[in-house]
Amino acid sequence: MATEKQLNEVLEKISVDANGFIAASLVDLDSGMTLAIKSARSDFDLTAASAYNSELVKQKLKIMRTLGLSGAIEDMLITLTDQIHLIKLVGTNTFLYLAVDKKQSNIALVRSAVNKHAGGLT
Amino acid sequence: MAVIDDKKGVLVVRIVYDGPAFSGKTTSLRALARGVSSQMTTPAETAGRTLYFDWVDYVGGLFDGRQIRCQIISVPGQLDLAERRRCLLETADAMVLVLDTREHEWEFSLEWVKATVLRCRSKDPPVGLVLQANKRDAADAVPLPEIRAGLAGLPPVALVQSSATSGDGIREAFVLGVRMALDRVRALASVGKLGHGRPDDDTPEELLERLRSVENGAAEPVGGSYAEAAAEALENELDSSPATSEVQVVAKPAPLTAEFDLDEALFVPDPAMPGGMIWPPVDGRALLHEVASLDIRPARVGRTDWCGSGSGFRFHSLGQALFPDLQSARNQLIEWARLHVANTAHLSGGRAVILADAGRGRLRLWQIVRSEATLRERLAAALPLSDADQVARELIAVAAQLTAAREYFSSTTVTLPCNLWTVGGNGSSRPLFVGLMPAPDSHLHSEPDGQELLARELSPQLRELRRSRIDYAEIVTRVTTLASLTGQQSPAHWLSEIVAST
Repeated sequence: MATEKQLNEVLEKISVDANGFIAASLVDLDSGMTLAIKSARSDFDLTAASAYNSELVKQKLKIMRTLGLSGAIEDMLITLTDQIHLIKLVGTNTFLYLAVDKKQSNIALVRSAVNKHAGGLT
Repeated sequence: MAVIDDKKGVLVVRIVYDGPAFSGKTTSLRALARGVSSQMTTPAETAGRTLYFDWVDYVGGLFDGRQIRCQIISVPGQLDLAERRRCLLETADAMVLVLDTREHEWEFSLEWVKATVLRCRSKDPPVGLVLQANKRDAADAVPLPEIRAGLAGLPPVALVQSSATSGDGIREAFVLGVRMALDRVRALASVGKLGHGRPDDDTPEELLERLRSVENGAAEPVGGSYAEAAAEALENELDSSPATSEVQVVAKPAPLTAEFDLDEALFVPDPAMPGGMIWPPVDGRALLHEVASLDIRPARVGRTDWCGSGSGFRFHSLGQALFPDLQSARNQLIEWARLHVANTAHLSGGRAVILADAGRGRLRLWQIVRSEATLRERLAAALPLSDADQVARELIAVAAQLTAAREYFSSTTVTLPCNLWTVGGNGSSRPLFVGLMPAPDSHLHSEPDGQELLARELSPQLRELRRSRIDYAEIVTRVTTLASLTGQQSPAHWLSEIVAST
């Protein structure tokens, strides 16, 4: 696994490349604990967001199992009225969580920024 | 210590940082507190040295819909404060052992590990242990292979390299500790031992108060039985899991046939796999963490079983142990867990059974076994000895151990193969099965015993001995002489007859 310093560097790069960056974290799926964090807004509770999004991923995996879907999750995208949230599975039990301001970005740009750097998180 | 605080809607777990003085516990906690934007509280210290404990409170992560509140504390490392340290260790759900891995400290650190491992395993269920190998940025840090070699004979320990001053590896060790604490919580919950209510120590002040009262004459041990309930724990988890309630439970596992598994994903040990996929829950994850860094890549033997070995571990998966869904895979995991629990006394340590992703939604069941010295290795070391008397004595000792193992293994719930490769050769008081566990539904041929067993196992060795030694006659004489001191129905006597006829 990459060192914490390397993880933080990757999040830093994502924050630069993703316009409207709000916050990003690398999250342990099993516990919902963050392994690295980067936030541009002090009012955004990244710890709680990371934890609850781990439940979201687990529930989606559960749904897939129930439906007998054999594929794997690549990413999950949630568009709010004012924000875009992207969850990108990294490895078997960690995911990258990214929140950006919708006015300053779009889905394609967010995906591009994440895919460009996600390889450095394993 | 783990408790569900219903009032606050959180699960409270305690991660205790242990280690000798000056190993970097407080520095690690300080770095962690900084990383999680929390405050560190130290009730009393002298010249920067912790006298009671350091305390960091952190709420993060989620367990069964509840937030996880971690009470992260470090113990005082000074030897004269050992009683305080002991009291704090008693309350741990997981331990992060911070060790100085510089050349001149390593020997002492290793002794500390050995003592801590025993402490963790004496708990019921065992407390997960993460070894945070600290000061890895030092010029004289002991190389990683040497650290691993030092840990080789111990029960599973998860190893994370760190530099507390730079902060590297601190959070990784902590998150791994939390995972192990959650494994323990699951184990406690499934046997009905997870408490509800306010934690014993909700604040650093309360903990300080309790430590002081203990020093003034109070006590607080805990206990219980877990090992036998471990397999039940898995089953209960299966029964209560929301994931499985939506799926019809199948009575028998439904392995896939060989034609489906041509594009099977390669197995990569992943210490971060979800709880409930590893048995035993705590030790299994530690073992998985240990093997994950070894880069062992199992390969398929023909079109059937998968095997891999190296660096002191063996991996094995039966060809048919591939399952189309989680439900059937978990049913089989439970069977394997039960099998291990029922025969624990006969098995060597360092074992885990896990479910790993095999691609396309399928799961494969693996067993991982730490390699132990076998009777075969003991024999291989003995036969070249120059002293014929020593060779004769070792032959008799091996024959005696093999016979004793055969008798001991007869009480197991599954037929354990009894041969030179599956019986431990380290001379322990009772024979241990060190081989790969047979499948729960396997039907091995009945093993021979007594002289027949010895003839099967030792005749080829003796033939080789006769070819390679000019003093073979002397060895035979020594065996016969030693056997004459024992009874007619003894391993030595049987061996003398086999030697004479070889």
